[in-house]
Amino acid sequence: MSVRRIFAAFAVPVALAVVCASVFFCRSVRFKTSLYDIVGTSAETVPEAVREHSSCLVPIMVSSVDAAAARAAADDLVRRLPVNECASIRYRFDGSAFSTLLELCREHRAGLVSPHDERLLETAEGRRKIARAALRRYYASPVPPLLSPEEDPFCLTDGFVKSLPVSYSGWTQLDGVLTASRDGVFYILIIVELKREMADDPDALIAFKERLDEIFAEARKPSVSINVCGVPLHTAFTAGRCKTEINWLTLISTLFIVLLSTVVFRSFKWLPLLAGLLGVAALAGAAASLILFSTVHVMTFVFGTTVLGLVVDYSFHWLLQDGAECAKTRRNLIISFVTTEISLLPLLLSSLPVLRQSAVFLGTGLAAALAYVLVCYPRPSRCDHMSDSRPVRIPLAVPALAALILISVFGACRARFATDPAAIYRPSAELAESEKILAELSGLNDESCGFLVISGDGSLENLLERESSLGLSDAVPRLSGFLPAFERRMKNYENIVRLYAEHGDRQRENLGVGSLVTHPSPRPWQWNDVPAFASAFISGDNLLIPSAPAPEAELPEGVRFYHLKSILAGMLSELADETGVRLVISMAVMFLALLVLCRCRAIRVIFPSLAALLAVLGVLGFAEENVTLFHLLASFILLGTGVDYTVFLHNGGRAALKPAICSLLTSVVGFGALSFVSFPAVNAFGSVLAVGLPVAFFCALATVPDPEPATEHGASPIGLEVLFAVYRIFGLMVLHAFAGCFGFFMWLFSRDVRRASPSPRKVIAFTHSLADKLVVMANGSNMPVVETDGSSDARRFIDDVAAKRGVFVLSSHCGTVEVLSALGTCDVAFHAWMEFERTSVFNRFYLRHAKREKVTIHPISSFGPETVFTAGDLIDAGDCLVMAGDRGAGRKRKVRFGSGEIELSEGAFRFARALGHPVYFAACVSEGGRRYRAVIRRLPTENLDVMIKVYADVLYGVVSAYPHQWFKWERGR
Amino acid sequence: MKRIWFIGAVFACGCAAAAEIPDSCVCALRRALDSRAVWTMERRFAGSVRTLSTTGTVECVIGNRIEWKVLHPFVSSVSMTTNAMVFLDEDGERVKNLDDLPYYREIRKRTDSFARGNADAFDGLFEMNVDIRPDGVWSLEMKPENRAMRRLFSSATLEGNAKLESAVFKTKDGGISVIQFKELPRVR
Repeated sequence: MSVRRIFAAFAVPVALAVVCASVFFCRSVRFKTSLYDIVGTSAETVPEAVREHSSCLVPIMVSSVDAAAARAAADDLVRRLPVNECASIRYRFDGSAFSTLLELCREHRAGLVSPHDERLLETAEGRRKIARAALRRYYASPVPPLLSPEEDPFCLTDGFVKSLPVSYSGWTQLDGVLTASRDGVFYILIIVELKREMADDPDALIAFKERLDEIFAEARKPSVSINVCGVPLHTAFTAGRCKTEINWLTLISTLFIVLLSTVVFRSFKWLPLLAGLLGVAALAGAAASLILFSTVHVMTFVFGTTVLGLVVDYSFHWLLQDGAECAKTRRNLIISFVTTEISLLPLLLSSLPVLRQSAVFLGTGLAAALAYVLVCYPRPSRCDHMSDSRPVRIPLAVPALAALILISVFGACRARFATDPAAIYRPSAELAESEKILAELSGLNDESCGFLVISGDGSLENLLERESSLGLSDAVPRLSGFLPAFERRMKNYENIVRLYAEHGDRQRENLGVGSLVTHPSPRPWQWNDVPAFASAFISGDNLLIPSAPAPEAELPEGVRFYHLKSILAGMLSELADETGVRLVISMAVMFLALLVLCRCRAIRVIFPSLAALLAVLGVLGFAEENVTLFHLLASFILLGTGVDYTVFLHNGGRAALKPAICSLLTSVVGFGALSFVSFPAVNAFGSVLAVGLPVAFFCALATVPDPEPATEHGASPIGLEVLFAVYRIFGLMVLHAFAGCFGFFMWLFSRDVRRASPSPRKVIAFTHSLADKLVVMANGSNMPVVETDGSSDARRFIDDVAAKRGVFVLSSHCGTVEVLSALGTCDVAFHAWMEFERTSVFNRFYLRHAKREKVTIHPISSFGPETVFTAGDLIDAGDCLVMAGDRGAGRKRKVRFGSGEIELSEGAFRFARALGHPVYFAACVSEGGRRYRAVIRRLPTENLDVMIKVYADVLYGVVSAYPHQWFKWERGR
Repeated sequence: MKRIWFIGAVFACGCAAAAEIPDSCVCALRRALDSRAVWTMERRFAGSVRTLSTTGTVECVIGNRIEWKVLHPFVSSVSMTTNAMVFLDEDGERVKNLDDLPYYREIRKRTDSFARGNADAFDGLFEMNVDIRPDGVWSLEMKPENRAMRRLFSSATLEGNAKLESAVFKTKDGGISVIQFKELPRVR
């Protein structure tokens, strides 16, 4: 491994870590934790007012059959609560709220009257009653008035304060604390409001919950129970549990990867590279998420960890490959990467922020990991024992596959989709029980717990007017109860002026006061007029009223009712639908991409992923587990990973089996471990992948195609058709120019081609040769002009052919032997055999276009007895048989080849001898343009060794003279 | 609501001190909770030019009811029963349910508890100061600890011997209410 690579391998993760840290500190990225933020931030669906309303509130209920014991315990508990983390602790209303209310009444007393007095003020008789009642109160009641008789001679403020509700949602203020009773048990409510920054910090919430648990343990008395609930504790509970579980599972998965790597590589030396790869993937994903999004949901990082399970596969595939197969492995890795990215693409367009963020995290992480592997990883040394390209076969694959699909279909029919929020969010039983108690004591339940949200143009008065127009019962606590709308106060003010005019003087005399303080004219409410005790009704610029369901049609503009459970269920349903559609789009896009990359094998490549998805659905159906949004999300990963297995197993043969198995094991352990996480979203992810990945792997194995011959790598039926069309339209000159250009560019842009041929001349000559081959096959115009070298053997060959004595031509891969048929000596047909599967592209083209008058190619699957008999019949009939002597299956014979050695196929020579006809060596080499020179030598057949030696000598002579026309591309030359 | 606060406070004031005040005082207060009396109230508000005078009766039956009647200058009454509060005046009768009056319920509960002998029933409500003269007349000054109650009166002073004889309430702005009690024979 070069120093440069070692440096890069360590420098890249460090640089990414620096980038990540810089972005984290420079951009004020906020981390979201709430369930609402998973399913969407659209204010249209769930307004900020509702989402943020309870995100900081922690209700604590202290209960006992003995009220005094409950009170004492509550007092003790409040003293112990951690004040630093709390914005406020609402427990005992010690009079400050009452003082605030009185100050408000004193400042705005014109118009602040009770509904009862408001009605009385309308009439003269009513006003007289108010005056009289005030006198009674001042004289008869031992209770002093709230304001002095000078300020409030008619006791309107007393009436207003008296009319305010003393209970709130079932909780009654008693001796300054909120209390409720149920079944003889006395409850005291303490509401802790956490600081805003606490609510966004899961670690801080976890620490707060732990502290709270300790305090409860200390404060709990034998006869006293303490119940606590609230969104922050749900978040803390879930985050804490997830954190613990994921830490353990990550540890187990990492240990497994280390162990597996050690077993597979039999060395620890690759572990730093493996760690570097995981680091690069995670850091690049995190950096991209932090750069692109101003708020990131913590679930993004949970889903993002799946990138680790995916990228570790890259390591195995690269490091376990045969060194000579680098190009192939690189291609497979790139296809795998592209397909996975395509599967993630639809997530980028999702309306769910978490999905977009996860797609960016995974996509960037995968790209960075692939680049890291290709650039920083060492090129493995050659390892012949692994370069086994034979396909992997498993017995009874087809019946097993059919059974699997049948069972999966049966199970899938039983699968049900869930949109209940509980399906993706299961709170702790303890918190749920506390929440139930709180809801019952507050007179609420799942069906009635909702909010009326009044939104407007930012003016408090407009909001209050809208609230007043709802005609809510006086029992419903709301802001307009404390702060009546301006219009109403103005009307009251006018009536109060009348009251003072009619009864003011007499009232002053009766009460014995010198003068009365006149009421100031009301003014519209401003936001800073809202007293602190009424702030619970305000969320942002909206008014919030806990309410029973209200028909949408009856609500005025700017007022909407939100039933949280229904909203969540609706949103989940919509998102599940949307995700389902995106999954289908993802499949379609991936299939199109595979059509381009793998052509007709696209169906075979995508099939394992589809079968795995079906199997997952089947398993969920049999397990009676509802399919949720998160099962669908995991399907995207399954789709991409399933295609990866197929790409490697189908293209890599048995050599790819080992890295693929390692990849499967790491993925199953890594992802499968997630199915033990108690958080349903993560659990769903793990379950899908734990079931789906092995199925995809099995299906990929079961559908491994027959191997394509290495000789036709890169052969394209479309390319051949284009070449032929060029020839038919523009003629041989243009075809040569076209083929030459193609060859040159291939040499220029392909490292492998350049390695095989350092000079472009050989590649250009090869493409010219292919072009001439096409012309001969098609027996078209501008046939090549072939001349012999004028030797006696050549003349004898021409004579034998003309006399139809039947000759056997042992050709080579030097030049273009097919043009021999253009020698023009007679109308004798030339026959050759090609393995159909090995050169299927060319054979299919040949069968479509060849006229087969002079050259007949016989496609065969193997050179068997029937081929031998056919060949014998043809040569006996006087035709020429052509067979390559320098390449082929079977036993090889090493002979001298110039100063070196060459391996020749012994079978071709034996077969030529066995037929008993004249055997010639023939090679047609190009001499420029359409001109070819045929080098022909008669081979002695008496002795096989001599025959092979002569062949090798003649071939060496031709190759030496025309080195750029020896198209033998195999490795080692 | 304030009225309930106050009536409760009248009894609660003395009761709150029960743990530390002399037995004679405790006895007098408990006696007041089960007695019948005529009262006269002289009230002067801050800034007013004359005193308002009112007379009436009060009747307490332990664990049952407290009835505060006004006879002059207006006729009205307010009765606190075990589950409701009944107002009666020239506008007619109005009944307030116990559930709508949590303070009343609290006061009732504490008062009943005190009457049953729980001397700590009103603990923590007042800061108190006791003065006993040689002739046995005691004077109990109480300042509310609760800020909401302080809005109603800044101090309350109860005075008596074997019986509760007067209650003086002062407000922060200088107002004062003096109530004199004269016990009547119990009508059974």
